Amino acid sequence: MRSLSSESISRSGEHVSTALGKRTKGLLVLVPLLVLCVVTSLGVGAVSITPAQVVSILLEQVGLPPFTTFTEQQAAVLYAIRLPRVLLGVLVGAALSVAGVALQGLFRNPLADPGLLGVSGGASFAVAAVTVLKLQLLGFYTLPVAAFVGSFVAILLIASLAQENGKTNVAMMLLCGVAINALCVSGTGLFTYLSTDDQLRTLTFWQLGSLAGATWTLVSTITPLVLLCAVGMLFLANPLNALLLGEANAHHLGISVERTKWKIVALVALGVGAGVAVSGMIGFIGLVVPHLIRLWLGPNHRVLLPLSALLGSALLVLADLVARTVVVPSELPIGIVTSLAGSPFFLYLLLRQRRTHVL
Amino acid sequence: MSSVLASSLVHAEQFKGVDGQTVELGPPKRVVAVNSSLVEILFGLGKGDTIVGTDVGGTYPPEQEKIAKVGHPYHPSVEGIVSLKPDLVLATEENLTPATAAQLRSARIPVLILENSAKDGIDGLKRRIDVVARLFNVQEAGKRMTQELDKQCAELGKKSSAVKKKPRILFLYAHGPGEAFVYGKDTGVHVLIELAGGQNAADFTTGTKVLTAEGMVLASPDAIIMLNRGLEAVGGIDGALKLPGVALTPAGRNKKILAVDNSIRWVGPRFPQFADAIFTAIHAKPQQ
Repeated sequence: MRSLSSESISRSGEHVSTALGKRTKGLLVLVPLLVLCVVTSLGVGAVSITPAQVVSILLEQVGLPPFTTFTEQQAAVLYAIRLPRVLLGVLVGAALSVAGVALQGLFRNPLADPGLLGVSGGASFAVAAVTVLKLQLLGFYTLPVAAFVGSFVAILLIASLAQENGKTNVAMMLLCGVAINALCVSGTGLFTYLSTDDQLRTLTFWQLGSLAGATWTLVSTITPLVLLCAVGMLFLANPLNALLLGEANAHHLGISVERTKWKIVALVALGVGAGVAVSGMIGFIGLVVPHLIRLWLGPNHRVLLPLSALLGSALLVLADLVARTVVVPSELPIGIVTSLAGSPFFLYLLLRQRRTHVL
Repeated sequence: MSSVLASSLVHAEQFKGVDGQTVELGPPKRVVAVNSSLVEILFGLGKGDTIVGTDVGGTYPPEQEKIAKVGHPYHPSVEGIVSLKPDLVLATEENLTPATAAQLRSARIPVLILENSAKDGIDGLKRRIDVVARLFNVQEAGKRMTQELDKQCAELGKKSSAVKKKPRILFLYAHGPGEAFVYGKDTGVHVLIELAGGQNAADFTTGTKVLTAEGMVLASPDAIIMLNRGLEAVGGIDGALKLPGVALTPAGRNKKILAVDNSIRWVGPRFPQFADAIFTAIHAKPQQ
């Protein structure tokens, strides 16, 4: 362990340059991929809009003359429904993936994801509680706010329970997360049992996840939260790299381990809380995306964080495209699409890793 | 052409939905109707051909099978609806959340939200028929439909008042052998039971409760109603008799397990007919 860390320090100059090279390589692939997914997603749907029309409608929105004809309905669909929806996909995909990277880094465990730590469980419990107890305090925003508060409280509780002599015990935190998650699941179950038909439906749809409720208000509400999470996490890339060597080694490298852990926990709660709040439960993105990037370009968080955000966005936008087009004019919940596509793929990855003796 | 335009302008009228939002329009030509009851009303008024989209919950009339489906009755797809280019989306409060209605309106599609279909039973149904008839400028057909309903209800009332004892009837909503819900007194099913001259054996007011063996024995229903698909899912009458507690009730002993149309929870124009069938089945002599 010691030799590995001194080696990585002595080769840090080379390390940084290869990291930059990898990041550039990743960006060259993923930025066009995201743009492609966004543009395709904007044009494809129950109402079809050609790429030229997409551009024209957007130009008109900013006051420039359009260069091709489109109907008022196409403009309304693109601007009022589809654009906020695609942007929401970009934001939520980025938030879930960045949170996944951070948690996997923090726990040095490739299986950590927002679901495991009770972040989604807390949100789910809070949503079930306000739905069944009919706490309509904030109108439209009751469910999102409840989900946000639920995930925040869950993760704060877990982080405080794992305190030991002023330090956070990471293994303890993981176990507390599992326990709190189980508690939240049974709480959700209790409220589900008590719910009426209507409430049961609300809960079920929320748990399946969907970007269908996207509006400009929702997008503008979560944008600062997701940006704070993503950008804040980028500043933690080096501490996260150091944590991979173990807490003691990270400490010797001059990283303030305690503060870093709290920052990660807070940023994860912020990003995932916001994402889950507006879109319900969307599984697998936070788990699979960091894996993909790590397999492709290695475990450096300076590469992992930005590229996972990009890939997460692209995949979620793509999943939403599938969700709303395969059964037109009806649509599927997106959580079904991500888990349906994600689980077999994840199994394949695991089996392949075992064959090459990585696991 | 101009005369057509003029005549449609003459009939343009303001309609206020239960969500407080108003639409102003002449008789619609392309309607997305979310809710089986509204679909049945439209077909009943001879305006079924104006429906260009509906939810997947409907079973009647057979013509509605061919209409494009925009998804779950409680969760229709916004873009799916817009793509059908409707000049009106007609739905009840339970089908479109305020957020979904707002999304549709932001795509400049008129949305009219009516009362929930279980509200006020037949009176609520008549109010919905009245609004739809005015919307389509077919008030005469609407009046005929409500008069027919009144007539059928009066006949049912006469029949059931001739019977001394009101049978206790329980509605069971089952998805499969393992689980079933009992429906309380604020549901469309309750309306159906009352109309059939029975009393709801469920003693609670709000919503639904999970079936328990003891609860079933305590309710002690003379007859149990289930949806066609629910009865199918539990494996027919024999399967229903195996549901918790059912075999210990008078309904179980006499095998009075009645199947009704899947769309029963939407109180629609066929409600008195359903109630009549239940009345007949309950008072039929037990088969040996």
